[in-house]
Amino acid sequence: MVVFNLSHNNYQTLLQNFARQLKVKPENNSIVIPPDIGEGIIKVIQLPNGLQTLMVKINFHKDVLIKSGNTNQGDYVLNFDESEIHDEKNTDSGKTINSFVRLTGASFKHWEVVKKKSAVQYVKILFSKEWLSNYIGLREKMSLFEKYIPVKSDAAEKEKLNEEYRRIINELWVINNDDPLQNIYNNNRILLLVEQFFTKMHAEMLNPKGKYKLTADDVLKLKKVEAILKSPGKSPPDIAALAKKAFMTKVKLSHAFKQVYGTSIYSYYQNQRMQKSHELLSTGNFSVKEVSEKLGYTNLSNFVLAFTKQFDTAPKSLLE
Amino acid sequence: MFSIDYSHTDYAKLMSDMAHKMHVKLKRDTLVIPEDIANGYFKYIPLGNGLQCMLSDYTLNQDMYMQRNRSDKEFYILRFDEISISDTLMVKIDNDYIREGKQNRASVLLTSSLYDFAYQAAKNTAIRSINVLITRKWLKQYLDIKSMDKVLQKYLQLKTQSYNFAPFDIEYRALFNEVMDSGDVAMKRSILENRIMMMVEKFLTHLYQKLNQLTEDDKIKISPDEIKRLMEVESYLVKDFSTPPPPISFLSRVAAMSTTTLKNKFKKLYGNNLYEYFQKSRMHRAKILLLSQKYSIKEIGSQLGYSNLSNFATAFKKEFNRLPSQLIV
Repeated sequence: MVVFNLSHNNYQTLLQNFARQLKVKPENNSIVIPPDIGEGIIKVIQLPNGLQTLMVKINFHKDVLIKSGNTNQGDYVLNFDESEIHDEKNTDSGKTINSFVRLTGASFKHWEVVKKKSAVQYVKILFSKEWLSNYIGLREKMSLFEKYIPVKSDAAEKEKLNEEYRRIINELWVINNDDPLQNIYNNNRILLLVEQFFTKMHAEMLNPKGKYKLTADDVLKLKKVEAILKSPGKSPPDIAALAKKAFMTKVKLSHAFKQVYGTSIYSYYQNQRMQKSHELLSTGNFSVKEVSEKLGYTNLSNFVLAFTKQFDTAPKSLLE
Repeated sequence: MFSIDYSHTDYAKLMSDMAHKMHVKLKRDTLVIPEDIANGYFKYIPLGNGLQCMLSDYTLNQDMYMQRNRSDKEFYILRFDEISISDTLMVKIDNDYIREGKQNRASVLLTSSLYDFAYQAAKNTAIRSINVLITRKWLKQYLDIKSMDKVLQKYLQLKTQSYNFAPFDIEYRALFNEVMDSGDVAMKRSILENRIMMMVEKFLTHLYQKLNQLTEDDKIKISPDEIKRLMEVESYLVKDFSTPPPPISFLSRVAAMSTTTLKNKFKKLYGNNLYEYFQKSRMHRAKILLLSQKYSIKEIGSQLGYSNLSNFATAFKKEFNRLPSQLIV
């Protein structure tokens, strides 16, 4: 299977790597995908302020494994995804349509098999932690925001794209390569996307949809809980024990966790468990049975079911 | 009369010089003007991308004369001004003088450090402005400098007043107000930077388009004086969105034109007819309020004079092709 590795802390280098892998020459900071793999382009925009943006628009003619995540510690990626993924199970349209934005940090890892006939469309904006704190002007009174951002990036929650995001992204796609004002156009659109995302996050932080007004301290505690869930072991999370660690009641912990991470403690754990199993299997060093035991499954077929549900492919397919 | 003359290449330095002359201390990047001179402030904002910006908002309590002397170091200054002239305003660009009487004007002007620039404003004149200092280094970074230089030079050579003062349009107006009225919001610096950059982008885009169309022959001719009066009309249209716009009979008196001439010339200058202009500006205001994430759709509707929410939603959709609710999911 063709592998597209989109995780890198320098998109210029990433583009060079792709050029080598696909045996094509980059031109104007972009490469055209060879027809046997698909139709489309990968483009990098380097802004004078240091921000890098990766733009991908490809109709695939082959199944592709897309790897994303794992940037440098201290880097963030703002991912805009408007892909149409070919999906035979969807009997109506034959595809699943993505339309979301999410902020991810260094610990985020996402591997996805994209079937042929899928149209992938990404805009990924890469920036460092320093750039961000400078950008949002973190000061004493904003310390909650400063703590909130890394937590939200760990949660990698998907936020639906509104029409304003779509409009800006469309404008970004139609900027002409030989327009003398292209740098300004790119710069302004990209910064507007960043601004909108953080404005919304800030508003949500101050007026949470849930019932808890969180303090900076609460957010730190939740982060501790999340760190425990992130290294899934043999036993499922014990909510009572977690609540004790976080100095919260079980009820408050459950609600507050969902409020911040957008998903319940158990499904967060389950998702981490599946990502971990994918990672272990891909190394090729473990059998399916071994992996399922490592992650605390006593029944192999339960593991296979859960894995298939998550990745749309059976675990043993990774070993082939 | 209070008068200042200066030559500078940097707004931080200019601000401290001005503070010195006014015998006041700077508070962070803000200069509060002493009351005997004016009520208001100057504020220095360095933008992250290397541009410098100075905001000011003041009403004069005595006549004021300001002069920037030409300098050998070349840079450009883009000025967005909203001025309510109480008596007279004299602007001098190099050796050209422009004299304006009692009126309101909101316009964009580009000048170069190679020219002298000065203005003299009478007591009670109210000035709100955003000045952006564009260095050649910045131009080099963001633009194809050769082609840009050509365009900017060509523009600067056209020192006729009608051409130099480009009136605000709906988008300038919306961006300008958002910058001037931004209270204490989160990420203020970035929001200001993005708005100001959008204004710079808009100016440069227009400049390119305009210089290409310069030879075009127009049927409706608008004199510099008429442009001034139309800017006055525009200021009445956007004054208050919570009530219906002033009647055309009133506006035609402001413009000193017949209603038909007013309608035609306004449309020629602003691209929209009077009511459209009011309505579009109102919807742009709505969009800004929505995106600020601070108000509900209902609150915004009623702030903008809609008692019926579905009328508001329909009007919004007509302008932006989507509902207010689709903007804030």
